[in-house]
Amino acid sequence: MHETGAQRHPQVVVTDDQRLLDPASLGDHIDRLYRAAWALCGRREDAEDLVQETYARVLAKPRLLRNDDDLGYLLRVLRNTFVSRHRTAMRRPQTAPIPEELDLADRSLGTRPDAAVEAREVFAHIAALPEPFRDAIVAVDVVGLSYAEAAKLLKTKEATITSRLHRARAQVARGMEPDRQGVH
Amino acid sequence: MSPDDLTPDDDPREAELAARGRLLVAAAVAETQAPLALRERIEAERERQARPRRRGRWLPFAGLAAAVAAVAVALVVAAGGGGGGGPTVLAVASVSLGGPTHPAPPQDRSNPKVLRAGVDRVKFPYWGDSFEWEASGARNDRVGGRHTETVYYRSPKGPTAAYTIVAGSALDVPSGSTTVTAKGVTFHLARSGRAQVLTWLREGHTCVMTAPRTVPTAKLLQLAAWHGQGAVSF
Repeated sequence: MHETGAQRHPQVVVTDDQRLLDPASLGDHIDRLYRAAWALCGRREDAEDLVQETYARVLAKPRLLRNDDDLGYLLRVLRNTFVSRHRTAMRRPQTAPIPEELDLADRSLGTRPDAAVEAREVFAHIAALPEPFRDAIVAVDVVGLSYAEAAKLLKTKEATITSRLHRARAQVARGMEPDRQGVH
Repeated sequence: MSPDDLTPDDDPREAELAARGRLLVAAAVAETQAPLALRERIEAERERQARPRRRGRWLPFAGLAAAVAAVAVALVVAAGGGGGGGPTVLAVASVSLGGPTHPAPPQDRSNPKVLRAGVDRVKFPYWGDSFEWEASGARNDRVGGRHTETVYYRSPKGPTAAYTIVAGSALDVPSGSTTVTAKGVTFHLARSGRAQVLTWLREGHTCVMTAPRTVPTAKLLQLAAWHGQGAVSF
């Protein structure tokens, strides 16, 4: 045993099935989390704030994980942060957002203006979906989780994910039809 | 279960819409990347959180922390369950991420080849005179139900290595590790990315030394196998 009076110092207990999240690896997931945040929020500026707040939360202290799924963990924190922010926002006086159309220099999108506009509209349509559909399409199509990973994250069955995903995709496509633009 | 959770119907129109929606989302995903400014803000946050609270004191430990983090993912695959209900080598190495929590133990005046710290009869070596690797800090933990003692040693060139002794019986050797014998002692070496983890037995106790790969493996083996003219027991 140690002879320097170490017992008065705090201990970190890591069990066999745990590991510490490596902060240095978090940068690998920024793109996917940013897309997920945009699809949740529907607005690019809100997405940036949400991703930054998510990383600040994760980095604030050591994180013990029970598996190798860093991305799933980060998406769960992102979603929880989004829900928390949304509830807080609902308690505040509402202000009118700046129309996305005024943002002509969106550097987070590609160089093709038509594709950029379409991507923005797709994310806006996803954000407007009912929550279960939105969460399914964000987890699978936007972030790239498998159906099994998405089911675990959203605490539901794979068959349910399949169904919700199908309907979410159809609703997004329907919303993007020329005669329905702007109708959510 | 709500009606929306039912199995997708066979409506060709709905199926066509779903297929088109999938392509639209895929195109939007391919088109979108996080802005550079956001990346920079997150990187700044990461660096701010990683900065030692007492600037400079444990600076050499930063490389070790990164090294342990780098090896953790690899070892979670390589390390099987702990022997006899004990922790894995991964768990023991990961604890080093926490860094020192109290000052380094002093040299044992009655036995100057070792420090006044250890587990049972297994004492940490004193490398200051022979190698100029000075003890720079220490911590103790419970990992997987076992008591562990760790001493951090700072090399003359800066990098720090963590030397941990695990109480109780020997732990399982990480599968996939390389076996090396030096001065009659059998070592098991695992490497990944920027880290290397050496594990061996001293009087039936598992010892784990974790260091950045910038530290030559031969130097780690030389340190770990050092007998201190018989004062360091194996």
